Amino acid sequence: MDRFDPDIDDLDAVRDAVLGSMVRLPADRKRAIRSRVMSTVTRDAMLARARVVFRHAVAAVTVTATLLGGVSYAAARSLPGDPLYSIKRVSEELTLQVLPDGQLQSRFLFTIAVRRADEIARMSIGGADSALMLRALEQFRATTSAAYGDSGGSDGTDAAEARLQESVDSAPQPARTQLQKAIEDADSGSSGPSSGSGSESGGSGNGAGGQQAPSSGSGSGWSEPSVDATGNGGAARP
Amino acid sequence: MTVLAERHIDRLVAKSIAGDARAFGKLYDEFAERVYAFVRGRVGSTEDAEDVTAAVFLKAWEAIGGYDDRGLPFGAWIFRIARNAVIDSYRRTSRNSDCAPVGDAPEMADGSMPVDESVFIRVRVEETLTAMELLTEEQRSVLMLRFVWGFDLKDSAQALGKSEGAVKALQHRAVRSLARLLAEENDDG
Repeated sequence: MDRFDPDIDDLDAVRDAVLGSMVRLPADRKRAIRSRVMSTVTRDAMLARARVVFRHAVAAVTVTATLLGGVSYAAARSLPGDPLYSIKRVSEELTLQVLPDGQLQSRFLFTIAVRRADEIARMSIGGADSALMLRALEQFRATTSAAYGDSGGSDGTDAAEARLQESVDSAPQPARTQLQKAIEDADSGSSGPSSGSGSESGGSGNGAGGQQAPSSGSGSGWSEPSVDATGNGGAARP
Repeated sequence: MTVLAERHIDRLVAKSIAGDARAFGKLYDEFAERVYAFVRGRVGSTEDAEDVTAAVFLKAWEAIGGYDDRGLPFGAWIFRIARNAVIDSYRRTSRNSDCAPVGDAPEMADGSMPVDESVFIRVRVEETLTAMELLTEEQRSVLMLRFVWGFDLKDSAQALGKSEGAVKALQHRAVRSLARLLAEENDDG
């Protein structure tokens, strides 16, 4: 047997001894352990994939249902200030959360923007409170700006304004005047009619004419979902 | 054992993180023998060693989603899991690890080896394992990492959570101690 001399080249001798003493894993035992491990790993992986498929399916169903007006008719027709309005907004937010970034998300944001415009038109016809009108207008602009985010800068803003103008033009005369007033207030950044609503400190600036989207609408008769309609605190969505 | 390129390991790890069971199976193929060798030297029986080895890879699978390849190399990461699994095994069984009995000696001889040579090697293996039992846990770990797992100083340091200088000193002490113990055994024999 080799003699070990601590003073002479211990390293190689010890390395050889350690390597030689290692208990090797026989191939059949390696396969057996592998089977044990992989039965759990494969099952977990399949479950994880199933969860992903399920989530995508839920997302697809949610999007489809929302786009087709899956929110109950009453909620879908609700306006800011209505009890069911928050259901409508939460539904939109949930849909935005599950939509992948990209064209589908932009299209859905545009759909939301059109809804906001319709709401404004209906609110003006119904003689809605000025504060609610202003808040609805801000929401419209925030959402439209995000929907047009891809075109960026003034293009998006111009497109949003054009869309808004359609709502103004289609409103009957008394409502049109009120709507124009709300737009002027919003353009001037005036807190005017909405003062006292407690909603002017909203933090989701969105690039729409330098305005800020309102934060939670306490005191305004309806509450915002926890995530702003733009979904990203104002940055334009892709 | 096939030594896959580090980048190949990284790819397998990335796929495993994404939930690819087959990629994780290849990681098992790559590291199973090293993990087993480390574990077997510290638990009392081959059955326990196989159980702990399986537990190491199951734990790795559970935790791989949180693995960050910008920090610990995968080998060092799984070594840490193995080391913790051995400690857990100690606690569960409340017994100290014994060296592998001679009857459990590694398959170091093929069928063509003369019997006397096979016995000679087994005796030497037993002596080495007995001597290694007298080392500290850290000294055994550093010898395992450097000589069996093939880690460099940097990876060994990361696996043991020590500085490279500390690992270098630890290795030096381990080598000197083991060499002295083996020399003493030879003198006694």
